[in-house]
Amino acid sequence: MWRLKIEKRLSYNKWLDYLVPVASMFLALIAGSFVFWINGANPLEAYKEMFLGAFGDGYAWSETLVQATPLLFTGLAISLTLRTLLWNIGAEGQFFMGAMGATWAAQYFSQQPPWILIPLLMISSMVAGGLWGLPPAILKTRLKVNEILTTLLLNYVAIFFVNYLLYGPWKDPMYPGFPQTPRYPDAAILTQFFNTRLHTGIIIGLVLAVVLYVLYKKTGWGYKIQVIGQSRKTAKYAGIRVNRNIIRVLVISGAIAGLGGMLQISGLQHKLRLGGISNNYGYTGIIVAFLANGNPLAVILVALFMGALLVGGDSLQITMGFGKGVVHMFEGMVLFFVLAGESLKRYKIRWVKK
Amino acid sequence: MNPYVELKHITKRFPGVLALDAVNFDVMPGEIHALLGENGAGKTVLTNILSGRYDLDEGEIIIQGEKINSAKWSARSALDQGIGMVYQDFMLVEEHTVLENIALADLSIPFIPDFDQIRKTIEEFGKKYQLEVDPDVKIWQLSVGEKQRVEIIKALMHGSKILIMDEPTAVLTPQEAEKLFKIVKKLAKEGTSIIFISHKLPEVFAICDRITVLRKGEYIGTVNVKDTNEKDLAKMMVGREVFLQTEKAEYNPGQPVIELNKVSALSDRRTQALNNLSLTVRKGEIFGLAGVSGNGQKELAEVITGLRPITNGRIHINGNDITDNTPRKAIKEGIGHIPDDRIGMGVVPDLGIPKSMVLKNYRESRFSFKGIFLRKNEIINYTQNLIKKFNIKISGMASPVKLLSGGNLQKVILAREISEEPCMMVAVHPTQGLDIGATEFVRDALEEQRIKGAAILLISEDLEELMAVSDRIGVIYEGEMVDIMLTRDTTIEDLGLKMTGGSHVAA
Repeated sequence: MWRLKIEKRLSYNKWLDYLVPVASMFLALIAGSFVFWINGANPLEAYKEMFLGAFGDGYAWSETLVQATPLLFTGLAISLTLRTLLWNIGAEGQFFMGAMGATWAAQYFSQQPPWILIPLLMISSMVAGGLWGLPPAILKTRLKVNEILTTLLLNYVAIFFVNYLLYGPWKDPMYPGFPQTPRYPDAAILTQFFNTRLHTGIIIGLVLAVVLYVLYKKTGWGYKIQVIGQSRKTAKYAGIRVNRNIIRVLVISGAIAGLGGMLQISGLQHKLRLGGISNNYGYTGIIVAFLANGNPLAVILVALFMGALLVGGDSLQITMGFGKGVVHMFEGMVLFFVLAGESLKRYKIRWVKK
Repeated sequence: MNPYVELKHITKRFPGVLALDAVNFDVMPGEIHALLGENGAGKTVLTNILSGRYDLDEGEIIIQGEKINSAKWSARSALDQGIGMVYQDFMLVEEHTVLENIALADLSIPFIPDFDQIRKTIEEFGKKYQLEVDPDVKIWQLSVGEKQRVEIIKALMHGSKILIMDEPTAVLTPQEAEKLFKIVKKLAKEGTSIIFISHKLPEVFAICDRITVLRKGEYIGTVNVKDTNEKDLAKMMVGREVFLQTEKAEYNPGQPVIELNKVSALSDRRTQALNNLSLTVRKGEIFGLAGVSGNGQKELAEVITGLRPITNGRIHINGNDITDNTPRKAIKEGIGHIPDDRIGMGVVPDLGIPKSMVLKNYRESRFSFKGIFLRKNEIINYTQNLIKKFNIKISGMASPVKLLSGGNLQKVILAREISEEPCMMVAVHPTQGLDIGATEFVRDALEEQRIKGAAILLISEDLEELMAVSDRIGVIYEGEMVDIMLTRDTTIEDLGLKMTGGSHVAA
């Protein structure tokens, strides 16, 4: 008789950081194939379909990148809090607030030329997103209220607030039947490349990832927030102002997610429209940041992967007739396997003879 | 007589470390057997194997002449075989009564416990072994010594034939330790075997029958207490001659460095932790603070290092008012701090050593360009120098600090704090859990700082250490300074009495 025995690792190799997520993903693919199989499809066929849908040609690539762009921002936003051992579950709401702030600026300064208007949109979206990160930060540092709950709950406030604007004051008078704003002025719309839906947002996202990488690895502030993330007690002991930096991190995180919201509208949707703002990017961003282990450069890769999953899943719906649920189920499986895999970094499993 | 338990050629490997190398160990019924060795010698690993918490890689466990299938050996089967453990950090539910805690430990307990029966058993044990505790008192109201007694009763309730005690006196006052020794002797007389883990030689000589010495995972030998002496044992433990008598330079105190004037502060639980406490530590002196843990020592250290605000009183350093102290201010004023929570507070546990070395001075221009970009090479060079200077043994610059041994971890902290050239050093339990070699090192480092003219506040529960190292000793009790005296004018017994509030009772 053999049985499994779980033992704590006293140390682990760096390559586990890479091997574990990849292996987890692979296992998720295997487990996911049962979903397809039960639905009467050949899993290999389905994966091939997904792959082609996401990377099969130039258009597929562009759509994958379009989906990856907002995930890049929410993923980066959450990677910042992850490094500080804070949980920002509120990127979704911050994304909405960013879209809202941008739309406000687009309406209010609609006469301005693009080189003024677009920076204004960016700033107002970051302010709106950052402000959405502020109350949880204050509650966390002053009253020790858990930021997971406050950031999560503020998502609903943001979403319903935007809905209210769309049904009420901001509704397009030309189309009274639809909960949406008028189209942005042309000066507020970002360039799209190669006749696809791909827009400037992805470049801003890539630059931001590199900036954050440098910030984390090379600067005193990056070191500081890493110490805070490792041990609040050590940080305090070292004279680091923990509360002040927690507030900064949550606000900046909100601002990054908010900027993602602005780019989504200004680059892709061109108007604020019910159901056309976020495709759960704030929540998927949690997976992205987690899979990337908080590393901004890895966030790029994971965002691409998740974008591909979304696009591939869409094409699966079209070609093989699966419901949206199948794709979500698969996404959930990936997260499940990766979370479970995390524990393998700390524990090893051995077979022992009974 | 046959041994109750025999461990033969026990080998245990951890990744990269041979924790135990073919170690032999046996325990006779009714014997008090000391397991002696420095930290990292493998004492805890060995007892964890015996109590079923670790698997063994090679070797045999024989209980009452019967070989145990080591693959099936688990914590539960160890309990069933009568092997009980008294933990150093007690596993008790603070908000429950003694009775409830003991009932909880009973594995055969029915859904509705027969509390009267358990109460009777507790009283029986109390009479038989002098293990008196009030069954109806909540755990948090008990002293450390009483909590330990509850742990012992719990183990006995399992029907333990062997009690493993992991450094049981580390948390006790001398008086409480005396009482524990009486209990241990009584238990042994009634047939219970005791495995007594320690690195304090005097207490081993006071109560044990045999001694097994481990060093770096190796089995050095087993000797009868009658046939050996402290000097030989110390040599067996360390592998060389040791001199723990710190050479002290003449006591010649200078200007006051830190002055606390009627300082009060609250604890984390918002109770009064410091009560109108006044204290002055001068240049070139080591001020030892004695006290039973939980009497305000932690809070006092935190007040001086700026981690805890005060509610009343004034603090001066070198004549400057720092009543509104913060950690940043304290660091700037040159107050070094060796915290007792080394991993949780003293270092950045999961990161490489450089990130713990520059924890307090990374802002300086030599380590950061315009205060923004870190100069990585400078930081690494600086760290390498300190590693060399303090003879820190590491497996690599990038490997997490938390994997260092206790002594090396403490050296990292010492290196950082000392190289800042502090005018004031607050050292909290700086040698707790360290082996003799590292203890020697830490004490010498403190003495060196003293000679250089630093003021040192040494907070320790090891009275022998306080006596050996300090120039003056203050006793803290319930947040008040009970007495301050010159070290040469006091004795360990006197300190022990004052620590427990004894002088109050007498007065």
